[in-house]
Amino acid sequence: MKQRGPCPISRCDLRDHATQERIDRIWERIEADLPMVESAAPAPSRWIIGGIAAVAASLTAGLLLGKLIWDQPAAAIEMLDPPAVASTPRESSYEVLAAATRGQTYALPGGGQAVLSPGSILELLRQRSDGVELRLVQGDVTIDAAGVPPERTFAVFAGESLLSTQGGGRVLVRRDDHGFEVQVSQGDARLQSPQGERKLVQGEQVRTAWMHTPRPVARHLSSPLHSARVMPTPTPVALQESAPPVSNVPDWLSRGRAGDSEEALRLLRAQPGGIDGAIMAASDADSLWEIHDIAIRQDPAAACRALIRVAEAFPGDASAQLAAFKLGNYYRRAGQHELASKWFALAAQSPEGVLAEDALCKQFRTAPNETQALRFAQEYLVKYPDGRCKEEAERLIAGEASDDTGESSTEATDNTKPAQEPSD
Amino acid sequence: MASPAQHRPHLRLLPAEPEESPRSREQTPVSRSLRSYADLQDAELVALGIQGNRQALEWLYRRHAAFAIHLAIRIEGSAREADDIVHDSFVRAFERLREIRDPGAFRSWLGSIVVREVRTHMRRARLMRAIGLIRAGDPIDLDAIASPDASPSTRAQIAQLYALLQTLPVDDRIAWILRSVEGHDHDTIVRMTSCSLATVKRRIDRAQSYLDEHFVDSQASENLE
Repeated sequence: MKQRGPCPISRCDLRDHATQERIDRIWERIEADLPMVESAAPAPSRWIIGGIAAVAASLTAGLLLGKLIWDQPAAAIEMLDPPAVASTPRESSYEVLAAATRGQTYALPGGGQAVLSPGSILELLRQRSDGVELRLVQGDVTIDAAGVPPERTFAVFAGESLLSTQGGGRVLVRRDDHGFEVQVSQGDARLQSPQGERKLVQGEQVRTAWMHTPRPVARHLSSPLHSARVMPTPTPVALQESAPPVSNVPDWLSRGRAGDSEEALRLLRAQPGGIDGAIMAASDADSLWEIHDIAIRQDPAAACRALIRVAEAFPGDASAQLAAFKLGNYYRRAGQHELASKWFALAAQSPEGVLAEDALCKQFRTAPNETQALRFAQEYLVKYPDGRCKEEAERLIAGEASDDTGESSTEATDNTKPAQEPSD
Repeated sequence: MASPAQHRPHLRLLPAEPEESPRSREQTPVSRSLRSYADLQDAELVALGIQGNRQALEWLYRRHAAFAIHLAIRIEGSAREADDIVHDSFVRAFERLREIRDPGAFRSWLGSIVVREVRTHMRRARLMRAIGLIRAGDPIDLDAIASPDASPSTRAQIAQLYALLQTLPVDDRIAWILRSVEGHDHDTIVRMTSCSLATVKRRIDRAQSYLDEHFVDSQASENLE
């Protein structure tokens, strides 16, 4: 007799193909296909190249300056007659913190550290008595404010959004061409965007896409006019005008994704209308699956209601068949075979899904009466003449009881039988 | 006698063990000249690689080649095209090195490229099978997957597992292998497959449900008898 069961395979049972010979062989091919790029040049050549680059950069900067002045009269006026804000004495020197090929850690004025990954650039905008304002130009920075008094604030402008944290916090901010990301590893933080403010707690991670393509960083940095024309004085108003969107992830979902199902469930229950309110408010199948995953251990009935809505409200979703199949299994295990049969029938209706055959197989096993079981068995043989339940279906039609799987149409009335399905 | 409930078909692989350290592979005549690069982090090698430093690229390759080879073979279930996939993946990675968002996470970024390459190969193979250019129902290349030191019953389990995986949709199969064989967490799989967390979970779930239904553990059955 064969039983389905656990499969204890460890990775040491899998073959190691990464032999030195293979690694060398593939490298030879890769090397042959690499673009013809020069390796790092010896030191004297670097100086020559550096000198040429410096001359070229000076010429380019001059040309760029001339072009900007020519193209943008306002900018020229701004330079000749700077606005009041630019002429205001600066509260601190304008500094750029950068990491080249190695990560760098900089002490921030007043305490705390900025840990920059290779290739990252951070501007120190302003130093106040109660904190600092920074702008992440590119790459990523971790603001480590451990040991700093909690009344001290650290504000980081990434793109045109503002992330702030207090002393004692530890926050990573990352930006690229597509958006930015925030990870709070210690303490909490506050994120401001046009969609409002949001508090982030320890362990939370948020990734958002730019609403507007941010200004190219390279031009922004290389422009010699940068510090002369624009005194970096970010204000909440400026932020409100052009801040990027923040993904409006509900708290319960954030907690659920962070693996804190208990808190996520508590938050779900605190939603307007409770957990059923959240189920009805869900606008896509993914959200309903998240509710299912959060509720399945402590509130399986609510988890089932979430799946029912997936199957009924989003029948075209790729996961609708899986939802119906799982519902069939849940109800079957609960001894509600009519409901199980109904959901298996729905799962069997999706011929593209890999679970369709299994669902039909289960349909004739869990059919509430013999007539239906025979009908489903015949349907199974027509659809899957070489299916894995073929023999069982044939025996059922021939009037024999199935005995090799421990499952048969008679189990519809046998609620005490141990379930053979996985615990989902 | 054990209850059948104790052998419920919950198909999970054992927790993933860490990959073998590339250091052991680095101490070869080929890499001896690269020893000065050994202490550099991936992010530093990436920065050098962007500048066209071939030694940095070679070091990156040698550090992550085993990871890429295993990933390709375990997802595809065959070693036949592994060389091509790994070659293509690294060439693509080196060409697009400037696009890497987090140079320190070179490994997972490379993983996403390998996954994409394997996916392309698998879809192409399915298409060719569909139009009859290659044989349908190719046997499982068990020697490519299972260790020769594995017991016969374990080899049989692996063969059955990969035979079932072959019938799954490519994306479901990839997600399940990344989770259950390679041992990656959901977030890593999201990055490697470039789809949402919910989609990743559903793919794994669907594959798991299918395997739970079809996998037959003859070993457990023998114990029952």
